[in-house]
Amino acid sequence: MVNKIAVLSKDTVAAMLSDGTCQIHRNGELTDSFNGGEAYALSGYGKYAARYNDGNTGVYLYNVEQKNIEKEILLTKQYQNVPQIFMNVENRIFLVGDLGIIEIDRESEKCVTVVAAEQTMLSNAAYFPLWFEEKDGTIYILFTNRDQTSGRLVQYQQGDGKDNSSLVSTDGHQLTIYGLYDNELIRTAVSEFGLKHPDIDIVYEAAESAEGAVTESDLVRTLNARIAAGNGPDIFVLDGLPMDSYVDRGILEDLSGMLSETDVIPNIQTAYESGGEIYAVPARVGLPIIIGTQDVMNRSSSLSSLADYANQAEPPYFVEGSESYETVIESFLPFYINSIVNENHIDQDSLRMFLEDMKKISDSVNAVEITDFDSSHSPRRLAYGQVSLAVCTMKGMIDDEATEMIAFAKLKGNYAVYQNLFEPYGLLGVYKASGQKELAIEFVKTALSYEVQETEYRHGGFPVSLSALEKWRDTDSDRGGATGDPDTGIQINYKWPDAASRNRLYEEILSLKTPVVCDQVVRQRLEVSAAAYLKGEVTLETAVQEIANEVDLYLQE
Amino acid sequence: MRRKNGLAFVGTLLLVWFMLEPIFIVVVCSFMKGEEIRISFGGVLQGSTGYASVPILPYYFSAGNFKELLLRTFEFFVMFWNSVGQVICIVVGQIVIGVPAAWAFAKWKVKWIDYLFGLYIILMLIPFQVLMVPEYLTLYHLNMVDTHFSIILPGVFAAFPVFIMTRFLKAVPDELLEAARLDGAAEACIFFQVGLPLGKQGIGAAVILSFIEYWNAIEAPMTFLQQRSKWPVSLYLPNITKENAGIALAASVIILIPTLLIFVLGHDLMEEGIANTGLKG
Amino acid sequence: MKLPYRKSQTKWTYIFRNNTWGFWMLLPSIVGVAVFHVIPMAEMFKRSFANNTTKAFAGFQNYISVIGNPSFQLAVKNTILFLGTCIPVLLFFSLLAAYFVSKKKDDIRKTVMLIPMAIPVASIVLVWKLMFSRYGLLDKLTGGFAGGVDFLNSKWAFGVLVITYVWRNIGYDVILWAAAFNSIDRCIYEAADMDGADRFMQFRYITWPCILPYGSVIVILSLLNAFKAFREVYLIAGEYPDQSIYLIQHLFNHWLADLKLEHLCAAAVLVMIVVSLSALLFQKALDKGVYS
Repeated sequence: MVNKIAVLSKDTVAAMLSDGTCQIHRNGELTDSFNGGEAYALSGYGKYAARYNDGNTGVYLYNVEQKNIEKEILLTKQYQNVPQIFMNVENRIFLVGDLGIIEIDRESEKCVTVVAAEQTMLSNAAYFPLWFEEKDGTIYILFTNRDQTSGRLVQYQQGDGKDNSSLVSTDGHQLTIYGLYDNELIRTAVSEFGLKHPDIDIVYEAAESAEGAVTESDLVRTLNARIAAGNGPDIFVLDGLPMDSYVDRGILEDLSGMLSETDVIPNIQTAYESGGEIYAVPARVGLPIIIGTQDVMNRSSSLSSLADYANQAEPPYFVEGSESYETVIESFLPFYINSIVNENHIDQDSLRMFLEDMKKISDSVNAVEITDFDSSHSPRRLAYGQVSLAVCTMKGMIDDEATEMIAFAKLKGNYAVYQNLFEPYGLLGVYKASGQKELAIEFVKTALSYEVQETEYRHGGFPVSLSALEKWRDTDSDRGGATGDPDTGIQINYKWPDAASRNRLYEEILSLKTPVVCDQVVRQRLEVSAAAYLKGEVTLETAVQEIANEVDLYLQE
Repeated sequence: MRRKNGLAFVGTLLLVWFMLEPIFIVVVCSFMKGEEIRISFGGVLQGSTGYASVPILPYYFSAGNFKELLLRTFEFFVMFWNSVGQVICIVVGQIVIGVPAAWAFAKWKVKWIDYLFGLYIILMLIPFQVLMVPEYLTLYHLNMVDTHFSIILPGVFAAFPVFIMTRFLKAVPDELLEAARLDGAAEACIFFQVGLPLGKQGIGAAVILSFIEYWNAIEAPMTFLQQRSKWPVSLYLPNITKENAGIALAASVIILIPTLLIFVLGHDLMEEGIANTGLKG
Repeated sequence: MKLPYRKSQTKWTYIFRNNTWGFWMLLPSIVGVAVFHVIPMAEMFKRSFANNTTKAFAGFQNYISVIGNPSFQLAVKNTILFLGTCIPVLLFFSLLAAYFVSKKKDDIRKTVMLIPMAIPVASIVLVWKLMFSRYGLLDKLTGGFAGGVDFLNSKWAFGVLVITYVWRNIGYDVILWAAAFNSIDRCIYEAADMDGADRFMQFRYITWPCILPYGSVIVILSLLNAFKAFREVYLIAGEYPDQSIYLIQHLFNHWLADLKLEHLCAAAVLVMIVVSLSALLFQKALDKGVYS
């Protein structure tokens, strides 16, 4: 199958096959081929073709006439993994992707960012560059969406984007967005918002994106110092940030007014309500679920009975001996954590129950200290009949993993969402003391709008906009996939969930109620100390006491 | 006699080993390939198992980590020169501002001078976390946040070097100064001709200590500088996991070198400065 | 004796006219310190008396809630314990080392002892983890009878911390003590020798009283370095270390991370007052005759 074609001249064509070979055809005959890296990136003109090298650490410049790789240009780390390569008629090489448009100088092998991506279509995850041309300093790119049902032709001048701010007249309006982690949906929202408001400079700071000797807590402290000085960002992406403290201290603006104008599903809105006001809204949600055989699911009404059944389940819950204590705890923690963590202290009874349940499960599967294996409780193993239980989080409607999960659940038994819990992603809040509050609120609205919500994002979660959800519920598709167990040779084909399944998921999403406690500190403490108990290093009471002491210390601060 | 010498020699060796062992380990490990580091360190690094073992020499000597660090990640360079620039500016500033102040604290006989000095001592002792937020506020109002000045200026006006230099300058005997005054010398003259030369070892000591302090500063640059391009190299050492242990170690070695250099070159100055406090007129 | 001022001037005019040199030399430093350090300190005072959300005056409310906070009490207890242990230990060992080293005017040993101070903390972290964490070298050594101990995350953490502190700062204090030793005139020792005093008596009656005044400087500097030890603890043991080494700076960090600034400022003021009082008292107590 051919992935990409580059027309080099009127009788020469380069074709990239799906197995990664690039073939050169002259006058209809195959004359040469060469290998390399990424099988979707190929471009060329005249006597040169360009593609990524093996390992995707650089670019091969292939000379068609000499039939060899004339040059290998290595890229520094920050420029690796840019999706597309394009070459213009002068054989200048451009990398195009969510970092922007970057030109590689063939002689000096240096990379120069020609157009920065931040507020352009380049960072819009819904669109991909399909066609590229550069002439006299002006760049034209044709973007198309994934289904190739719509396209946009965009023109850039060299130096566009943030690099050359004189081209972007900002009128002093600058919107700052701060988040700890990079979030594709936010980037897309930035791009969409930028299209509607070309005169506003939007700065999206994803603090953790670069390496450094800083921990997340350091970043949070730095952010708080800024807030204390009155210099907070206009919009917060609250994942990993101390949202409760912010609410207590009146840092966040009430969004209920704006939310009533959107179609965010009401149960999500109320999940973040406090004192009649809504301070944050997730842009996406994920569902922690348990999938299991019918037997297992019959006993899943309470977590403890689920744990009790661990010894008798056939096949076992997880593959024996291939699960580590840490992963056992990690997978089940979301279901227990809400009852363990209270305002000011740990509920020791719930904690005890959690530890006992975990012990039962980890004992029954002979959990080990450390494992390099893939987690054995993935839904695939369930499908292969190796295990009778899978604990996972459904993170997206288009994400193939979700399709798999629904299909396997149907195949083997059933799945259950536990106590209407959900995990929020891209939790958005607006800074109360912001100078551009209206604009900030409008940005959040854009992030919750149909256009942004109905796009797919890898592992991005389910949309919270009703119209986007309904669109998905009503969409049929013959997308699907296949997976096979190398050991037993079982092949399983699965397809896009049918209407009934989609409807069921739709209903589940509409009944979500409680966000899972996300507090990293508590989670880490629990995971580490619980692991110690499971390994037998401490007794149950000691473990409970230790955890209670440490976490209470934290909660009481 | 020979036995005593032998004992002393062994004692010295032990001392050297105990004090410098971490440096040995870091240097040796930085020349190891990633695989070997993982094996040597075992369960100590995240995500591995097994006991660690003592690395004496690398099995396969490889400078790959250094190559990777120096040639492929130019942010390391940028940060390195940031550090150099910031620290030099701070140290120079500390001398220019701090030495006259120390001289005044040491020799200016005014009633309230000791109380003022007490204030400096208090300021010196306050841990940074405490003043971090208010200092950020001040810098924000001065529009200095996210500029190099946000690091340099608070450093220039630090209380610690003044404290050290005052101690040394106090040791310059007053009789000398009186004699100079009676000879009709102006105060400025006394400062430059008498005070500075006699106190220069003390100034040297303060410089070295300041250099070490600011070369390894972590909290201040992280809080006051938003753009990574302005960060000093002390913030480069990433969290050490089994993936990047090699680069982290190589970076440690490179960051260590300037400090050691300054130390080796300057320690005579420092020790002499202290030894000379007992100058008799 | 010839008077330094003309009879027509009064004493005060003289002082003002001729003694202002100090003022000018101090001025740049004072201005800078005031702007960059004293003003923030004042801001901190102000915030400690104000309610964080409403910015209204709240009296001693913050102080009361801070003092009553169990985390604060634990942190204070640990910090005092730490300071009370590590500083005397350091002083003792450095004094001992200085006594042996200063006799020989031996450069190498002094330099070698100083080097740990110069190593960046982040490099040390890895080595410390190598030595002290679970599966580390020490754990391997004691694996037999202790059954797998993580020295960094258990009650041994306190000991590790003290060792770290001493290792790092011993060179510093040795130099200072050596200087103190060298300030004593050799002649006194010779005279004492001739009078028949042995080494112990010499130490007790000559050395000790003479170096005592230097002690105040050394204690203050050791205190300063003890506060800096926090960075090592933080990088090695993380945000929430074992309870025995949960220091006051950990709490400050967490309060900042939760934006509980009013608590932070109130506690900071308290800490500052206690520390400065102790430091100044020490200085007064040991400073007899140091300026002579």
